[in-house]
Amino acid sequence: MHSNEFKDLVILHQNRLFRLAYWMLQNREDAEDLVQEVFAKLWKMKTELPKYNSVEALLITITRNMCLNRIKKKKLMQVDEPTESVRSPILNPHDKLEYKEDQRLVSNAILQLPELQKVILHLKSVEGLEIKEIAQLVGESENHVRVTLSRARKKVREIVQNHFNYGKTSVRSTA
Amino acid sequence: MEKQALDQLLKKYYDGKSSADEEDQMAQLLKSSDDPEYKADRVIAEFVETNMEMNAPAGFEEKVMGDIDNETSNTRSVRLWPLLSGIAASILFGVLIFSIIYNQPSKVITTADQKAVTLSDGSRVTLNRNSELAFAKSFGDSERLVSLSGEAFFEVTPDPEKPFVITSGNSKVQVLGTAFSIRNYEIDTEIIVSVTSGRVGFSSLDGAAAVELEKNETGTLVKKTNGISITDRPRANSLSWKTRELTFNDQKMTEVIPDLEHYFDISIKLENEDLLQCHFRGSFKDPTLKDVIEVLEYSLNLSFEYDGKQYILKGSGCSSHEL
Repeated sequence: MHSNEFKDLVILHQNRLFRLAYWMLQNREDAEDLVQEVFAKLWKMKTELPKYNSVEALLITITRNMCLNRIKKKKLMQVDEPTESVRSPILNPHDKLEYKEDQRLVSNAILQLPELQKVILHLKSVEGLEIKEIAQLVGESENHVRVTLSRARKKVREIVQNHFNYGKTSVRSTA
Repeated sequence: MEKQALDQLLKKYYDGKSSADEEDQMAQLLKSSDDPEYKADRVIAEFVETNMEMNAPAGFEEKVMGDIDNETSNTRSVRLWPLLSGIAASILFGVLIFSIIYNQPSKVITTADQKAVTLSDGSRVTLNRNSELAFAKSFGDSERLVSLSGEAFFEVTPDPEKPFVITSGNSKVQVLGTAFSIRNYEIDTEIIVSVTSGRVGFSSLDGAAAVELEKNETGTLVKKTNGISITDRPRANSLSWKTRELTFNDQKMTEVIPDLEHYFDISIKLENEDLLQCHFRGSFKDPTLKDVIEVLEYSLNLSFEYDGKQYILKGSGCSSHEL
């Protein structure tokens, strides 16, 4: 496979993968790094790509696995520094402080979700996929996807609401 | 009124039962409301929206492709070594012997097995059983010429200067660099080319019929007439022999049976023509014949018998309303 073909087949999905990695890690630099690793990995297995029915599904699977590994590694490294994992997503100095703080709350809530909940919430909310498509991509039944989605949404709301109820200073207290 | 509508939408949303339209509507209502009751929902909706608008950073593609191209040129220089040692050897044996060895056509033949060959230009060819690939050990200056009988999957190294040309029976396939398969067994009445990536020129040897195939297209040359037709979807199971996967999407038995015969190298006879009315849906990973037979017998209420030479399919068949 030539690099141009690789571009058409694989790199085409860069924005989507970046959004997924960003959602899973809630950190821009990490997401950038990771997507680059994903592409390097795909390039190494380029001769096998024609075997796969959907390159997109393959990319999503690989990205998920690599995010999981990274999160595990980070957790191991950051035993003493739990607050590090709660980084702010998009730092725009012009945003109001309160707005930023609110967004960080959601970011923090997402980081606390189990992996499958995170992925399904992402594919539904950010990518706007149908339940059926998500079920195919993650290899779960439609019903299970729906239940997991509901759990993820409720969990995020619960965490955010709790913070509002108990005051904003506790943003960094969860791990 | 609006609050009631919003509450209803939120309930659906949190139960995972809302449609895309309802979610849009909900986001709109949340945006226009400043009711503190919905603050968490509003903040979450804003967060999601920011994420939707996010893209990979500017210049990301160039960065990735730069890394990849660097790596490619590295591997290319590594591949020079076998060539260099070949040249060193030729000095020992003399230029004459060198030219004889490297210009002689060579052949790869498979019987019951499959084989993968890497040609001198780095192109890879995977041969299915009972196939034969003939090629020059080193290609000429103007084109890379090979010939095939049987079935093979080609991954051709791009070289815009030297087209890769395959002749097979009375057909000719010409490419610059892509991946595709060709099927042309002697007993086949057609020559089939299925394109996995890139573009492929497919013509009859006499040039009377010529088409250009794109990714996922299948070209079929009927040997008797030399005419070529194109279908714009990948032929199901055209690469099964290589991927070891068989998939049937509610296919008619007229398609299922030839695929099975080809995959397992068997012959299947129908006891009752009505069996052709049956449809079958199912997919298998590296199946044995027994695996497939069991599923077929179970789902279509038929039976297979082996008479020592071929399989005979028995059953009452399917009327049109049954699957």
